[in-house]
Amino acid sequence: MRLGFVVQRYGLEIGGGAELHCRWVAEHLAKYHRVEVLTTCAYDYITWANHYPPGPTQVGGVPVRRFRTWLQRHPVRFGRLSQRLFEDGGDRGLELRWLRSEGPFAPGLTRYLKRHRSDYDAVILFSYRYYTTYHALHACPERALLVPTAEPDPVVRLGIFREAFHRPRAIAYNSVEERELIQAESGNHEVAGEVVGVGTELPQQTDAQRFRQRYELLDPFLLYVGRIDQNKGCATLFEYFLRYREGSRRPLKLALIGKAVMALPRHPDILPLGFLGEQDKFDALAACELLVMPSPLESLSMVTLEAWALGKPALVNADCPVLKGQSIRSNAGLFYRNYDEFAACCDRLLTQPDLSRTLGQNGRRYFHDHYRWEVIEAKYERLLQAVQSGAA
Amino acid sequence: MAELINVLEIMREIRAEIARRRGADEEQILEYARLKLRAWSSAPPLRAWPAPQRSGADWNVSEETLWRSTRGGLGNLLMWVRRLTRPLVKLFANLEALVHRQRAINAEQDQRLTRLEELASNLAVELARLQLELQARAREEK
Repeated sequence: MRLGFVVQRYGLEIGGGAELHCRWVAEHLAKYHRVEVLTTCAYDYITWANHYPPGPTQVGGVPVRRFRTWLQRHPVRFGRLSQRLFEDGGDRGLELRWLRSEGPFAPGLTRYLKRHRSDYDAVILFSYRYYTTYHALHACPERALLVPTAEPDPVVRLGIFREAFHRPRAIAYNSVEERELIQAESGNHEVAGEVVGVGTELPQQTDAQRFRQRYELLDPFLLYVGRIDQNKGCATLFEYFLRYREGSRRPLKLALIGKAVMALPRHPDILPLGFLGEQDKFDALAACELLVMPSPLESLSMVTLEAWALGKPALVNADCPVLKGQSIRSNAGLFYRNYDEFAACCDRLLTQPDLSRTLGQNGRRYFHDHYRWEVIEAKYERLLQAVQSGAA
Repeated sequence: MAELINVLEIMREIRAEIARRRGADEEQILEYARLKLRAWSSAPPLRAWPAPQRSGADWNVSEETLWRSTRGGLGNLLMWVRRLTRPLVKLFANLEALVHRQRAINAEQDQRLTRLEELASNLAVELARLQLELQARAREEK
């Protein structure tokens, strides 16, 4: 099949989020199909300023065609529009103005897709909320496979998107919770859909001992991986962890991997290790007692899946429907709503090795059954068949 | 052993144990905490971070704010003139440095405010929890 991918940004330097998700899927499907990625010249996801040269290029062996953005996001105007729209409400016209203001405004991409739609058997569109995705979806709905990457925020309730969720031939959801959210908001039950998510590249082997020695981490430790940010629930995690440490004589550390965008408490048991390479990250996962994921808003936590792939249990924020749902479905993680539950879960996971090991085994099985690349690729193939049979 | 484990069952056990110790379950504690916060008209919702309106980069001023205009077609002309005169203006007064500093101050204050809201929420819940626990103990002693 000839597959087009549409995504707001694309590049080897862009780590995380829907962009990385798109790149991995494009690289994997390129093994079986002729793939081309249509994207913008932007690198900065706030201004969408042109960074890469426009035109055809190759990224990681995949053909990419870049289009200029014609407007940089105006922070004040966009803030004002967002406030007006989400606080006072607005009509379709205002919603479309908001979408254009959010960007990335690259009309050349939409024009190209309209003109060359017959060059593709299917077009896979990432992140429903961007200008490029919305207009690409309208340019070729009969060939569209949407990967929404939606979170429970007010954007998903906008009329233009509720209507847009009916347009694609098929939808690849990240989680059961995301499907429920979108179906509840839009009522798009008639659109073929499957919970797919994304796979991950696991290393051939991990070395927990090497990690412990290199970072002088000889005590048992909880591990957090991701941006260290209040919005990711880290402030409450620090508060709970320090309180737990005060009430416990057992040595325990909290190791943090990722870039810090908040002030960190200075405490000998909280160890910020900064941004680490993939091998170090997997070694850390192999060495930890459990992965803790305090974020209240996740559409799919790849690091939680990676911890499960290595047979480690997870302790997650129960206020995040996706993390809680995955923990229940996998039987591989516990979840907390407050300090008492955090402490009780830590007590059980740290003092009952059988429980911890069994949760880890369940996680490994869950990853194997649902998130291996072979499984993800097969799900995409099914959805692409649905698109093709609908488009024919 | 895998079949014997059910995380929902484990969480039910944990919560029942905590409720027994505290004399109230989580919903009762949150309801009590909400009552405590009702006098505070702009109270943050309990356990509902992040604050979506201010978080992210879009709400803050930026160096571009100085040169932008929102007046449609006339605004474009105005922005073009401003861009032309920008080096001259910068020669006499470095306004961009001021905006840059203000931007950093805004971001820092925002972070502090968000943290304070989070702390206030946590404290209200904690206070509610302790009060309910005390009431439960007092009832037991009677």
